[in-house]
Amino acid sequence: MNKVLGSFVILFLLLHGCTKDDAIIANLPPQPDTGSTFKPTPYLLEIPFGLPPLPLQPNNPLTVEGVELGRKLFFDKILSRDLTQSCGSCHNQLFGFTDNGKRFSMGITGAVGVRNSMPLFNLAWVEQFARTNHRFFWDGGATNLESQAIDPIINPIEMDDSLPNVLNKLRNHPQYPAMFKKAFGSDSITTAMLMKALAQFERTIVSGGTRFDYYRRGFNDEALTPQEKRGFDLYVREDKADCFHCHSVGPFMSDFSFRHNGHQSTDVGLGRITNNPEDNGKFRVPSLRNLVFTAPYMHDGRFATLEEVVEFYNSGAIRTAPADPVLTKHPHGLELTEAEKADLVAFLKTMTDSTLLTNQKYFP
Amino acid sequence: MIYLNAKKMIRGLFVFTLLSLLVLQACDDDQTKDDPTPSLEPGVEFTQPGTVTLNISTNWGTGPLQLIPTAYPTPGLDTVRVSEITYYLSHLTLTRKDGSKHLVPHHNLITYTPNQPFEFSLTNIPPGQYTQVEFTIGVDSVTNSTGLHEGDLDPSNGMYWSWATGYVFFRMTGRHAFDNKSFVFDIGGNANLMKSSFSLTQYALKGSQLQLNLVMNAAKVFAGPQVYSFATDPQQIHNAGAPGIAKLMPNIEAAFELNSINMQ
Ligand code: HEC
Ligand code: HEC
Repeated sequence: MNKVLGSFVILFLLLHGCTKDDAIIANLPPQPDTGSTFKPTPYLLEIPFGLPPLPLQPNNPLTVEGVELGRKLFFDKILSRDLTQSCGSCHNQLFGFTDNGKRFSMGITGAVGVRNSMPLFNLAWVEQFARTNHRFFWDGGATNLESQAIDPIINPIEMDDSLPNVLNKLRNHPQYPAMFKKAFGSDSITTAMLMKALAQFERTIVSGGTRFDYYRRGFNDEALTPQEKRGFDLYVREDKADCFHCHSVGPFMSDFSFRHNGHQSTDVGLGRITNNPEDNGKFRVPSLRNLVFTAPYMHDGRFATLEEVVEFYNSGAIRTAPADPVLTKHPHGLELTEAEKADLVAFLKTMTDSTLLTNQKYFP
Repeated sequence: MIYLNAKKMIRGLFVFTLLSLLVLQACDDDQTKDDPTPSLEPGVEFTQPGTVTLNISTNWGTGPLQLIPTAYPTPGLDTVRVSEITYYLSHLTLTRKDGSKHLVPHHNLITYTPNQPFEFSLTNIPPGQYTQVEFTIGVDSVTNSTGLHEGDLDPSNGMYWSWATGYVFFRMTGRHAFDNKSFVFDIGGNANLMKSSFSLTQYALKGSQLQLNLVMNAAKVFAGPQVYSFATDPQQIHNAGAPGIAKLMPNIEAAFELNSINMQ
């Protein structure tokens, strides 16, 4: 019945397409062989307190087999040219999936990058709520997790391999062909399957259930200390710290936009992707969850502590164009007292979910 | 690669072809009504569902392009040696007399191999009288929004930007004598989709098998409509906003020439 209905929908779309001159049909997702016993098991993801349901991914639904394969790939150095580096090397669970406290990451050749490794959690919602096709990386260069996953593999300053070579290694591996077959119904391993498996695992990395979540969305007034509550008050006060206009009040602690937060870095950020000079210096507003684990901070990792970050917003940020209007409306800075700065830092630390570091589902 | 002989993509492609068929039939209905008694008019006439075959040779001027180390002079008073030309040719579109169009959704990756014309066929062209043919050089914006494609669009073909999701539409690399450096033209980005179109009205042919003999004249990339000279124009083009693209795009569009056609 569903199939019949589906065909009608497709037919309608197609007929409809004919009225336009340039009816373009996007490539259909690869289908498993007919008649095979391909039956992947749907993966039931437990959503932590405070987060909405996981957005559906019709092109790449989570399956037990796909996630399992993605996890193995994520921690397997086979994805790098000289077998010395995995995704997990620069995205370590113990550091909220960032690079071990390093400012910049080092690739297999010893080359050092220019951006700070990004934490990996709650990424499926970035895809859901982003306002444009610019989603992943500090500069929004990647449109979805699948398309992103290739970059570190072939980037000469990261894993420095080629896709044909990586696919060959996987095809000749004792376990991978069978795992791909279980996950995608075919053991002829393709780039798309590799991308999908990595993306599936990444989408299962979720983090919530912090004291702030219970305070804000559980209406548990006891969940925060008086100092932390003062910090939250500053965070949402337009005449005080005024962080919420960009970082929102949750649950993701980002409004998913790209903005210039008053830094003086020469990295053009989003401008490199859109080639629009007005986007120069804009970066994705990052989540403020789990900051305790993900130091150093900002796209260039220039701040080692949250105190430095708060002082930057208080007095260091430039407050004229091209800085964002939310900053320029405070031309003299935030003028927070020492006590207020301490309150704000205390509040930022309430968004810490230590189970992210111990959840065995994310172990290699 | 092409719909005719892709055995690998089995089911996906089968469904895809089936769907295309539906579109074609759906689009075709009013056309047959318009043209009950076909006659030999300017253009090409498909008397029944047919096939378009594209045969593409690559030249420098009038002779076949030779790769490095053969050197060619350019109007920019430069000398160029070419090492690679690769591009996506996509969405061949036939225009009817009344301006309505039939678009064949496809992306074919074309890599120049010396002295070997590149040939592929597109099937299920609906009957009708067509007066113009066009195609795009590049990847349409919907397809370009993710790397999740197989076959010619598999990112492992090396025509994919992972740092700014999307395909390289057109690549030409080589060396130039200006200061004996390498040059790389990697053109991509939705704003940079190129299009070449050709009138068919000087022909009056009918049948069901149309062959288009195209020449990609690489000299034109440097020669016109605007002269591209490494003395002043960029040698390295690696992103959608690179200066130099604006000059190269019309040159690349003009590089495609329809040499001859035949129909049976
Ligand atoms: C050499 C270190 C390194 C390796 C290895 C590495 N990454 Fe990263 N990753 C980074 C850095 C640095 C960034 C930020 C880059 C930027 O924005 O320019 C990043 C960003 C990301 C992002 C974007 C997150 C966001 O919120 O936008 C994802 C997703 C990601 N990496 C996944 C992976 C996967 C999957 C692998 C393995 C295939 C991998 N990484 C391997 C260093 C690394
Ligand atoms: C104009 C929008 C805007 C405002 C207002 C703003 N931020 Fe940010 N924030 C950003 C952007 C954009 C970045 C990323 C900048 C970069 O990478 O250089 C960022 C980065 C951060 C980071 C680093 C996170 C990481 O993972 O590296 C922290 C912490 C932070 N902001 C806290 C705050 C606090 C606290 C306030 C209020 C005092 C605040 N922000 C106000 C836009 C804003």
